[in-house]
Amino acid sequence: MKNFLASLILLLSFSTLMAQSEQVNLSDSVLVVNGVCGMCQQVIEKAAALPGVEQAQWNKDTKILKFKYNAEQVSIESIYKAVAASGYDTEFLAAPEEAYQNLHDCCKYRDPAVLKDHQ
Amino acid sequence: MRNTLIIVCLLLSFTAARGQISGTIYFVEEGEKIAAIGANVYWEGTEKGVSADEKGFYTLERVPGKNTLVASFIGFETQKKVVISRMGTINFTLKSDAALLAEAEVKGRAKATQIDLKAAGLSYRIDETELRKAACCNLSESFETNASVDVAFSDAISGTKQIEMLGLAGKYALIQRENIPFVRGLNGINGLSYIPGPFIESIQLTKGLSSVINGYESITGQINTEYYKPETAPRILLNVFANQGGRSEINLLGSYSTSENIQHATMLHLSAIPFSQDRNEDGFADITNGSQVNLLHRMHFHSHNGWEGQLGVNLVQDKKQGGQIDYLEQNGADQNLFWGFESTDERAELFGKLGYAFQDEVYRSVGFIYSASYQNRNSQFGQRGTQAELGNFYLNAIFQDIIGTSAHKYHTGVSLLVDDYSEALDSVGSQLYSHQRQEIVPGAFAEYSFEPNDDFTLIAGMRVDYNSYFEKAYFTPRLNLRYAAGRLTTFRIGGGRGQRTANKLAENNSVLASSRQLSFVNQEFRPEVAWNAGFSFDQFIPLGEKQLRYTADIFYTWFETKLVTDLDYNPNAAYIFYQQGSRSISFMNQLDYELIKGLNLRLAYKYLRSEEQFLEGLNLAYQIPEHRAFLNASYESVKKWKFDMSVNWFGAKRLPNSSDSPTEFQQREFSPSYLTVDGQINKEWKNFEFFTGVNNLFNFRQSNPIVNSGQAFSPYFDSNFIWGPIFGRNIYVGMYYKIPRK
Repeated sequence: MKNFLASLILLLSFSTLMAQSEQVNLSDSVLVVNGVCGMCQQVIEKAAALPGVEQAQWNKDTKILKFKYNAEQVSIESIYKAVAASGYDTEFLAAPEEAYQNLHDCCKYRDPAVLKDHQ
Repeated sequence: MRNTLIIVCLLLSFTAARGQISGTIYFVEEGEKIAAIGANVYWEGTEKGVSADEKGFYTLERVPGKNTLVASFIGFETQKKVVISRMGTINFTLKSDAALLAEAEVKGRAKATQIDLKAAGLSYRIDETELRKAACCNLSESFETNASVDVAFSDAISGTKQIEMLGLAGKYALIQRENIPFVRGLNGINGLSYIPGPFIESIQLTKGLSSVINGYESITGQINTEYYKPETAPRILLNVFANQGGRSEINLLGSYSTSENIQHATMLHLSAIPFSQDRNEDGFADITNGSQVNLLHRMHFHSHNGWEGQLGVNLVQDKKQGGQIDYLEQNGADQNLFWGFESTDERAELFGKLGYAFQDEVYRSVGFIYSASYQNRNSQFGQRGTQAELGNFYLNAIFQDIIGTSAHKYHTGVSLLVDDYSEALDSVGSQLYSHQRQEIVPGAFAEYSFEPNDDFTLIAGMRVDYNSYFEKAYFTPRLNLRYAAGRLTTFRIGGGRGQRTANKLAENNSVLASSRQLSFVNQEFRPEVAWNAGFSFDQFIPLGEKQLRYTADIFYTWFETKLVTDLDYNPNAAYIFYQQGSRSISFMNQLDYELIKGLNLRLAYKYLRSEEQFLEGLNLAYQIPEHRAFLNASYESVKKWKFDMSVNWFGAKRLPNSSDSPTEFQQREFSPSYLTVDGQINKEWKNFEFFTGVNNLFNFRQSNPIVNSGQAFSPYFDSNFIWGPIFGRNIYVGMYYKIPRK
């Protein structure tokens, strides 16, 4: 248990150190977003680009959306809600039915047949 | 440090357990959404699932590592959705199978070459999963888990398996390979064994009269087998099989593409039974030995302007040997001393399709289906030999479109069938019978289908064909109606006319496995003509969490002309003649139910009264049991273990009359009733599937299948009194290795 506490303290101090080194207070973060194609990529990156979010980049193979954000300006929660609202499921929240249905047929990533087509 | 790990694990499982997906499941009916009460939803590959409540609503916890949700309900399409989110709403909208069939027809149209799917007839689709339940060996065995089709031996020597539908021989059904008539003409008896099981992707079975589009030859039903296509075949599929009867098989399939628009698939079947066994010690082989080579290569090409085509070639060589064990053991034994059976078939076929889908009109397309084949068969039955040859050409051109809206569709087109046929029978050097004919049959057809909504379908078709041999034009009308009363009940009714030309000798080859003299009463040839009418009723009954499916159907077939083979009149002769008035009634009841998840039960009872107009009047047809029952239980576990068991019960079958034979050769009038049990176990790993099973578990056998087997060259020697299994218990093992497509 001693070891655990020690490593926890180490970890916490390390992350504080990291935060302090960032001058503009930007944090790196990732979010898993489901999607299949280049068209999806455009929509996802556009939806994630809220004020305070920079360099949002989604990779269709890894399904990972990488971005930098200013925690004072914007929360992770509002980012994944915005992505979900654009029609894409994130690891935290599924997209509303209507938004999903509005996607182009080739972007219907919940459909296993569509996934297969993109493989 | 160990503690840390435990805490981390606890934390992880805690967060995973908190994830929860909810949503609503709907059925679509007439474009309206209704709550899918009782529909099942679960995570694929697990048993974690729930049923939707009275509002169609469900809530399901996330399962770590699983991200595919499956929603299903009997009679409706199963829908899958990939869900990665921990929380949220996922709705499903399930379409009924009937609506899906209609949709498949539209999709098929876009592909232009797959044209027909008839929701209006009583159709069954047998897919890969069902096919794997009966592991060996060709199309005839594929029906072992299906109560609509029976498999029977035609005689006790040649080992030819025949299927029966509605109490009539398989030749009265139209058996096609991808909408090209395949099991017909000279291929009519053995053709089933030229369709290796592992080549088949799916089978569509329609009871009763089907569409006029594919010709006039179907009477009792239509069986269409779809082979693997270059687009759907696994990259590589290897299947090996062996059984106690000595049968060993290798099937190899491969698919590849040579350019973006051209794809190929090659399929090879090699099988052999190297030796014969005589378990019942009657001096005759229980199963024929022999070998088959079956090679098929096909290519598909697509263009971006709506054209699509395919071309294929199929080569088959099949050799069989049977008869007395003494004959088989001495290579080149004297055929006058020992009774031997030999048969060699060679068949070559070139086939193809060409389709064009109009770019602006989604419902409009035109398709051409063609096939050219040559087949010859040389057989020896004791001292009698037969030679037969058939050259065939088939062309079908189909145009389809809608009238105004998609509720009114039609197919129309022209066809051409050419049969160049010859057959001859000889005995010790002298010719007893020979026949040669050429039929050139140009035809035209039109079929109209009316589907105002998902509940109602009407399909009315008519074709006219001119036959050059009979110098006459024949009209073939057919009608099918389907009505769904609500979501749970479906009625179907249909009827019409069918016709075929029988080959008097080739279709009576099995009589040659006896000492009977063949007597062809009519010199001339006539077409066989039959009328068929049927009614069916399909009902889903909610029972517990699942639905019980009950299907009842009744079919009546009446022959205006039928080629009848009479074995009753004289025990030393077979009279073959045309008669009017043969008829058959088939009444089947079937229950399907999923008792617990993964365990499916099927129970069927069939009443068949098949009567033929013999020389001495109407009497029961041979070898057709009046009562027949069938039970199938299959279980599939989550870990891909599959267990399958079938119980077949056959009531008494009428045997040829032998009251004029000497007492020692007299046979019973009716066979005893009997029961056979088959079982199979499959286990699937990633790319492997292993199976083992047993046919005829309790080793039930007909003790003396051959009458007067001790004196094969004397009168009363006869193998046509067969009614049950000869070989008995047969254990088999096999496996599939599959590299799927990327």
